[in-house]
Amino acid sequence: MGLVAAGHGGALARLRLTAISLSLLAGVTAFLLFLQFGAADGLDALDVVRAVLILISTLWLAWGAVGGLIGLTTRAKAPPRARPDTAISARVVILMPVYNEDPVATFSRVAAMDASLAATGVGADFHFAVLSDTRNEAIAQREAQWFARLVQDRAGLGRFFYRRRAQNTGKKAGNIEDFIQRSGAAYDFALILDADSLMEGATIVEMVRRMQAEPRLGLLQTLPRVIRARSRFGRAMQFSASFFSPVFARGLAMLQGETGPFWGHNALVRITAFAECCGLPELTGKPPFGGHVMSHDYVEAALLARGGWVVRLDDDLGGSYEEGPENIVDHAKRDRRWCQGNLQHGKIITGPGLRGWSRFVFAQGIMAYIAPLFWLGFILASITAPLLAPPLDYFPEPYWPFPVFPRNEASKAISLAIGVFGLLLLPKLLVALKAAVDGRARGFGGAGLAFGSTLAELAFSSVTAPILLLFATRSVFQVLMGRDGGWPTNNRGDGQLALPEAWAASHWIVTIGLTGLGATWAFAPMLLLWLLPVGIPMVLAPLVIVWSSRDGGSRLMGVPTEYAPAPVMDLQDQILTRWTCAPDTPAAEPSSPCALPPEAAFAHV
Amino acid sequence: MTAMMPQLWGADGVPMTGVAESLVPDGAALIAGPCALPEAPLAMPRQILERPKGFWLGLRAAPRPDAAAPGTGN
Repeated sequence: MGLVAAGHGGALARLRLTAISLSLLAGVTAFLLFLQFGAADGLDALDVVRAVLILISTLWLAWGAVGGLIGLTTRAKAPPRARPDTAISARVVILMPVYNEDPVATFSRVAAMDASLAATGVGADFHFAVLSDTRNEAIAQREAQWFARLVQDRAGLGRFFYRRRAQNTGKKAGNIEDFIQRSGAAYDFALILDADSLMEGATIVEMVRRMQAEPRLGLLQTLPRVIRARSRFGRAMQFSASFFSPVFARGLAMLQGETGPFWGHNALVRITAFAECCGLPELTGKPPFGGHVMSHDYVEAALLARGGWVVRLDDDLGGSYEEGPENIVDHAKRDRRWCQGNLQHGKIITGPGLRGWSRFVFAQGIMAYIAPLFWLGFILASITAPLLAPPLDYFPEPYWPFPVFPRNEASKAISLAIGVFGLLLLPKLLVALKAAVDGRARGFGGAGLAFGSTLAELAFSSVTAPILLLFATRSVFQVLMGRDGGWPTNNRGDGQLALPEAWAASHWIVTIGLTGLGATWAFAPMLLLWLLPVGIPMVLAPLVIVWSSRDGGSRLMGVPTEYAPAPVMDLQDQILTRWTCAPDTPAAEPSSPCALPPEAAFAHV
Repeated sequence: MTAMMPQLWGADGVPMTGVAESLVPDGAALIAGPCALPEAPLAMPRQILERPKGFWLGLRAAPRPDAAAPGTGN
């Protein structure tokens, strides 16, 4: 929003200080409560360790909750807007990097965005460049075939471009960089997309106008909503991204001010600023910490800010969409890549000249992946504690004839548990309440259904959280042990998993769950009840993975784009139908989905 | 399909008769002619992201953040 723009630096500093202070207060309170609980039977070293672990974990939870509360209690300031009739004078290119993606689905999005831009009537000449890093020759041939179809369908000669790199050096960041080095001077702004991105033409035009109106603006990020999810897992993610994320994103935007985020796609960049600031070197050392910068987007945002450019998240911009993983395994694979990228930022966090907030953002990104380790450490320490605890001494005072019984401090532990659950649940419940009051819930089926969906999402995430926690923990250990996760292709199919696949991906989680529950029963039986909500989902991980990958058609967790698809989604569906069912569909097309409904065309690769 | 497609050009500038043929044998770049990216180079200097070894011990000076790093990568 340029929410707290220049001149409001004091307000921004106060807001950040307040947010950090509140989070610290929650963490320290948890720390003290746990110390009192632990001291009931005599304080030992393990109690202090556990108190520190709970301090860090609570601090992290509280930071997320405070972001949500800021989002709930603030209203986006109007960004500098140009008049709606302002002519588009900038030369704009829309970049679609692809890597072994289904060209039918990908290029139909390009066609839909082009049609949506044409429908705005602004008359500007937006160019599209498909930047292929595809390694699979069969897919590359289909890209060429379908690109030709795209060009013909949209009369795109001279506006649509395609190139495929011989070497995909630097992965996606290198792909964009190669474009800028080859063609960057031909354009003023570039809209960077992912292969699954879809944006309304009106949104793109508005972004261009905002960038034209603010010469200091180097990057303008939108908040993409997840669309077209079908599985239970996908729909839960879609609901969360659509219902909760806008509020949390507003909080984030308020805190970040002009040192905003870049999430790698659905963002407009000023090409001269990007070229000037964002040439990424290889980091010293070998992967996973050295080599190419993996999570390049965070780094590019920090570098633009270092160069004095404004990086802004305008969360009021709608019409920005992406697709997400349909099952836990695909989510974990993507998370593995992000984990390595974020941990790699440990080498950059002390980089010269970076803004303090950029360093803080890197720290947050690292914390997002190591936080589960603190929870896991706390659980393990709690199971171990009874083994290492000294025997109770009922006669601590010499010559005092009466026994001294330990104080019962269970109320402290219960207060702590309530506080932790409050931090987890309260922001989401408040989002539902506010949505009911301000009418936003209508887009989610009404206040009642939106509240039911919120409860369903909370239940769903409670079941999947322990499984995701272990996947994240494994990722961190793999990175720390020096294993490079590479650059796997994203699966964008329907994502349904069979039990053998789920078992292959999660049998180790079952083993850990059974071992953990067994150890608890043997060494700390009083904790068993507390740990069942964590342990049972682990033991049932393969079943949870299969169940959550199945079709999630239900009124619960409905989102606005399910009730009324966005215009650009309709356009894409029409294009897909025309392309895949027309008599001139390429005969060589091995998987022409003519007999399938349009959405099935997404399931090719 | 080929007949209805716009003409594409090979990397050597010779018009191609089949789209798939517009891919050179090793899978490298590709479609020239009107579908090729415009040639309008823009420099993208490498940025300094890391402190040099020894910096924290006071053995090396801090790099200028705006100085270009040695070229690596693509």
